[in-house]
Amino acid sequence: MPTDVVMPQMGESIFEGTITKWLKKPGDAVEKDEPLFEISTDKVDAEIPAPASGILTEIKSPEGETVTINTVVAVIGGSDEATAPASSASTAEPAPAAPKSETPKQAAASAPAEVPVPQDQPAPIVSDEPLRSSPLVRRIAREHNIDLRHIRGTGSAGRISKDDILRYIAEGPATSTPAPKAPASVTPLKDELVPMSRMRSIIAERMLESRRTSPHAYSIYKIDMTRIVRLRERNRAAFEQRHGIKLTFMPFIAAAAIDAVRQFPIVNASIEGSGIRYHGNIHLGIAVALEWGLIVPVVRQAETLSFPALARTIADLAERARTKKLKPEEASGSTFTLTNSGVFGGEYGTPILNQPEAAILAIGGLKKEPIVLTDSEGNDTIAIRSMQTHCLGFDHRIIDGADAGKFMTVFKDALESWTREIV
Amino acid sequence: MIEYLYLGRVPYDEALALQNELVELRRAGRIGNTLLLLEHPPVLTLGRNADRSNVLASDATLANRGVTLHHINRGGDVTYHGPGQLIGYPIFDLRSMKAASGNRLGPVDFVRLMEEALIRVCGTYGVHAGRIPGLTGVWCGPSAGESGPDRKIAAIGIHVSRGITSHGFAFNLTTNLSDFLLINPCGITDKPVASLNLEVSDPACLPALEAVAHEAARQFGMVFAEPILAVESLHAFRARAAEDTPLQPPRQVEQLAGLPDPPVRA
Repeated sequence: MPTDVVMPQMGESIFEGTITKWLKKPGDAVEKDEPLFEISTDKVDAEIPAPASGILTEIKSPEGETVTINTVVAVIGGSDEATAPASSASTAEPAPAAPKSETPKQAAASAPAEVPVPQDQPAPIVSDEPLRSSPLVRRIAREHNIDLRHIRGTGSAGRISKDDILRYIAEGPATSTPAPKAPASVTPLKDELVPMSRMRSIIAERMLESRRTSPHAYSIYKIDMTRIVRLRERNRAAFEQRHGIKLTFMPFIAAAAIDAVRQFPIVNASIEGSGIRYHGNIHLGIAVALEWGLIVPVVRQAETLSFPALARTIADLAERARTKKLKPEEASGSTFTLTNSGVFGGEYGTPILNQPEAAILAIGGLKKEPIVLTDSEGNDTIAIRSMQTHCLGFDHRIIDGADAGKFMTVFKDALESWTREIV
Repeated sequence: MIEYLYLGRVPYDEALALQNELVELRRAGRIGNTLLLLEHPPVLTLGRNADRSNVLASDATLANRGVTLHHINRGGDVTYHGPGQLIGYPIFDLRSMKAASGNRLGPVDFVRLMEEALIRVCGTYGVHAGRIPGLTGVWCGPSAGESGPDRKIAAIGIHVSRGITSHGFAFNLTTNLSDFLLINPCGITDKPVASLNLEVSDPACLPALEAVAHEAARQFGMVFAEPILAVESLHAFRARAAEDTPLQPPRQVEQLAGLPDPPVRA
């Protein structure tokens, strides 16, 4: 029974490979695990072994060709298909000299087409756009003398797949009227029903549940971040060199939030039955938006961390969240959450509480704005300052507007009059 | 588990022969994943993607300086090895390892892990190094407050045969960087070369090559998540790889005795 030889995957994010050298020719006998062809990438030269013993009957992808992984690049016929003189037919011995002259050259992929394309009947040109096919499809088209413009592709945006061209070869030009595709420069909207992914349906359920549980209210404060911006600029190189991570605004905001939470523990609380549970630690959740959904890694006991340790923990958690390396216990158990709405370019966001927490702080966009500054003598001037609007979402069952306002005032002062050492 | 051997300074040919020997032993399963750590006398090697024009010095110049040239089967272009440069040849069976995600470890994934180990070795000595996408190897950026191009502190080039890796990395510790002027390293003309002694804040505190070799082995163990075991000598290593009694007679013996081929061979 013939065995397919496929293009292997050289690395987790690598989806193609280029054959640089075939070590065997069609008709050669190969042993299982014997090097069959070579792939060379940047700094890796790999000999790929044969998956089975037998005679190499066909090479589908010649040297220099790039194919996607798992594409069949060659076929090893079973040894019973070998026309070589039988030495030991059951075990394929690599018989050196004899088989080559006697084995008829197996049809390599460069053989001329068996199905004649009707030349007399001019096939309609379906589309004139370039690059609607893969290198493999283009090679098949070259061999069979087919103009790809005559083929209708069934892939996305009219892409011609291998099946399309093989069908064209078997059946000839499409007899059904080739519907002229809408000019592909504008992709039309698709009317389709897509089932929700598991993560999306969980997020949907949680969001609805949170809104149903807590009456949400919002307190919005505009904060002058100029001092922090300047502090960060002055210290970022030294910080990065000493601690090995980039210095972002996140640790400043987190540290200020922790200070404010210490003074107003009601924002770090949860409702338990008919009581209010004030938590003994601040487990700070940092919401991270990923392509596949939302996740909230938690900085445990954030109030005990020094500034560099806080920065490092936040960076590490965010990185591992993005690369899907978080442990489940690292993504739950927060008592207060920070979420970055500003990263999308807007002013601020109105977040939904991460139950069972009582408050969530949305960080706004950092923008330069003209601000009125009053000096000690009461003179007003207009200055350009870096402003950021933060929005505290809170559960109005246990946090009142006054509490929220006081919390935000302390938070604002912490940032506007920052004195802590950071490096 | 990864076993490692520090071999001191070894001529290139000898090291190549040793690698081939170990690749065969690894394939036969007589040794486990092994890391060779050593140093070479001055030599230029040209890999599979090498362009001879990247060797800038003439043959006469090379001969005068005692630099030999070798064509080898690793990936990559031309590079220089010499005293003060830590060479690492991991002879690993990729099929015995898994990526962090649980999938197979491909050759390129393996290269990324090797880079990670070397980046961490740089970190041990206070040097911030990293990768440049598309340019395999370990790179240092310009020092804080300065501008300038990235510099390559470690070059990588591997060969994989039936899942067994050979060749590996060359990490500049106190390498004479002017020797790199003999070539366009890896065919790159616009990015210079770096060495660890010029990157650390206090070069006098940089330990000897052997100590850094042990640190590299340690980081390999961390990155590949394997216990790491130092083997005292090549002699001890070979002794432990001694062949066991085979499970069945060799095929040739069976044929001579006229025995039929068994349906399954061990």
